[in-house]
Amino acid sequence: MVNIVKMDIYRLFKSTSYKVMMLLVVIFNFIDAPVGWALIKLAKRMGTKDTGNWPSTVKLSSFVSEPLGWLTGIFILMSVVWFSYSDLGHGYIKNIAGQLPKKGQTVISKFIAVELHNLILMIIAVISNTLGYLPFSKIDLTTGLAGGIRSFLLKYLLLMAISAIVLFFSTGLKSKNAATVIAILMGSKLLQLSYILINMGLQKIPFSFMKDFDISKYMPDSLITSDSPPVVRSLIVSACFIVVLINLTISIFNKKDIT
Amino acid sequence: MGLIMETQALTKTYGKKDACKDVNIKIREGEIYGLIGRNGAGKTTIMRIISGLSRATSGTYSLFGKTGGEMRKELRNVGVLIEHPGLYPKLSARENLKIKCIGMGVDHSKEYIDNILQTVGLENVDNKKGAGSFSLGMKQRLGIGLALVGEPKMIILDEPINGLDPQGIVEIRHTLAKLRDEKGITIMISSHILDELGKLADSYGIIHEGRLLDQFTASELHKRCGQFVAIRTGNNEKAISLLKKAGIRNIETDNDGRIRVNEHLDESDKMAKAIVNANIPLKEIYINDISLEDYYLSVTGGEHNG
Ligand SMILES: Nc1ncnc2c1ncn2[C@@H]1O[C@H](COP(=O)(O)OP(=O)(O)OP(=O)(O)O)[C@@H](O)[C@H]1O
Ligand SMILES: [Mg+2]
Repeated sequence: MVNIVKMDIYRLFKSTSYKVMMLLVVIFNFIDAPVGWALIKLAKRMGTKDTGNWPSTVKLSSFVSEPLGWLTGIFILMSVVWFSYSDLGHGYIKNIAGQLPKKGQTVISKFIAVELHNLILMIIAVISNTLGYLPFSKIDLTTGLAGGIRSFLLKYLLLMAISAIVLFFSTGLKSKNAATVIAILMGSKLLQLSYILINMGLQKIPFSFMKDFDISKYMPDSLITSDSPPVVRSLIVSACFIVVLINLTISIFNKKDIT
Repeated sequence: MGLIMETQALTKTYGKKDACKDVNIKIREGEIYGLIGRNGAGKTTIMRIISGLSRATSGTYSLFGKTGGEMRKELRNVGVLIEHPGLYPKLSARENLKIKCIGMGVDHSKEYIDNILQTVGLENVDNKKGAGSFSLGMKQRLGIGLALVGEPKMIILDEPINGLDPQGIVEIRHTLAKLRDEKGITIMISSHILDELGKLADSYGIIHEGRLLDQFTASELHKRCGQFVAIRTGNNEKAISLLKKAGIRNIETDNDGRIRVNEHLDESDKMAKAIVNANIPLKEIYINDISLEDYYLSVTGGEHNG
């Protein structure tokens, strides 16, 4: 088991798509400050009112608590799709799966490598976002940092749950397309639109306890978008999604032939 | 030689179609076993099950005499190349090999990987070149190399010489013979190129429409269809006793009513002379030379492999 985890981590660091995604995460987080700064300058020059002022000081904690800003979430999830599908897509899995005590071990090792991948990309997002602000603002390193780190860890956990969902599609169902669609829908928050519809539908059910049910409170992709996700619920939701989906993926993967 | 692998009534059904049915294959330790059959016969299906990549619908198989969970552990010693080589196209041959070495927890030093590259004839390949840009033959070689990672006792190669040029085919044949002779690796190989398989394998299985029609060793094949002097006479009984008196022992009549002399092939002229001199009507006498391909066609019932 340890060996295939090592193998997956090795191939992660060797993969081109991972390096490309890393570069994109760096660029898009780094340009956040310069672009914002330039836009305010431009607006002022054109005489627009209410442009707001560029903050003279920014808190490190605000970057730490928001590691998945703008396109970062989609980039990371797309990278998860590519990485988790590549051994199946290229057929490399055939070289080794039969020689392992259990084929399903490859699902767990892949999930572990994906989690390392997510953590690295999230940290890189925070660092490049912060560095982008350096020329324009002072950075307050300490205020609210504990809360920021808590938020970071909860989002990491929720992203782990979303990755488990993606893995279910890419590795369990062996569908790169379905995994890509899910990754984009969840990464772009678009899937949350469907929760509104589901809630509306649930409210039509004539049971009083369903009246106040809000599915978005229990989905990792909606919890992850709040500034400070509720601790206990995030923990429970993530744990449930991870345990259920990884087990499901393993059992499907064990049953299916490797072709 | 003991059996290294044996299947019992191995069956795989897709929907209503039996991709293979009641297959009983016996592979002996240290031999090269050739699996022959036309497109869609079920070769890949069988090899995939034996490699642990797919499950049989029914039936079992044993490895090194072990079954069930014990057998599952033995699968570690079975390297495989099934259909197209599964390679990461952007990574070099060396990196592709290294990934499996790490996954198997075996030596992944430069020397070990060099050794494998050399075995499969890829030692001179550009280290910066991605496997995706390799020629078909190079990919096949790398696929065999991957099967060899971790010192397997047996390797299963599904059509490893398909698409190779004649020179490449000969090289792979030498490589496989060397693996068998020097390392004692048992090899199961499927191919359409019966001529080549005929030069290499020690045993054969003929699979047709999912069923194993025949299974035999190379010497049995030789006996059944290799070279012999075929003689047709007006009185076989008399001719046989005559030839026996002349010191020929390996002699029989076959189903076609021919006398088959399996020795002294270079003395067919003397045999003809003796028969004629004894006034036995000699209808024809010739050296019969049937290849594996002819035998395969006769077993599977005729027309050429399409
Ligand atoms: N995943 C699958 N689903 C449905 N049918 C399949 C599947 N895999 C194989 N078959 C069928 O099983 C039969 C045997 O296929 P198999 O690939 O084992 O043949 P083969 O002897 O390897 O042929 P080839 O020489 O073309 O490689 C074929 O009729 C094929 O259509
Ligand atoms: Mg095949």
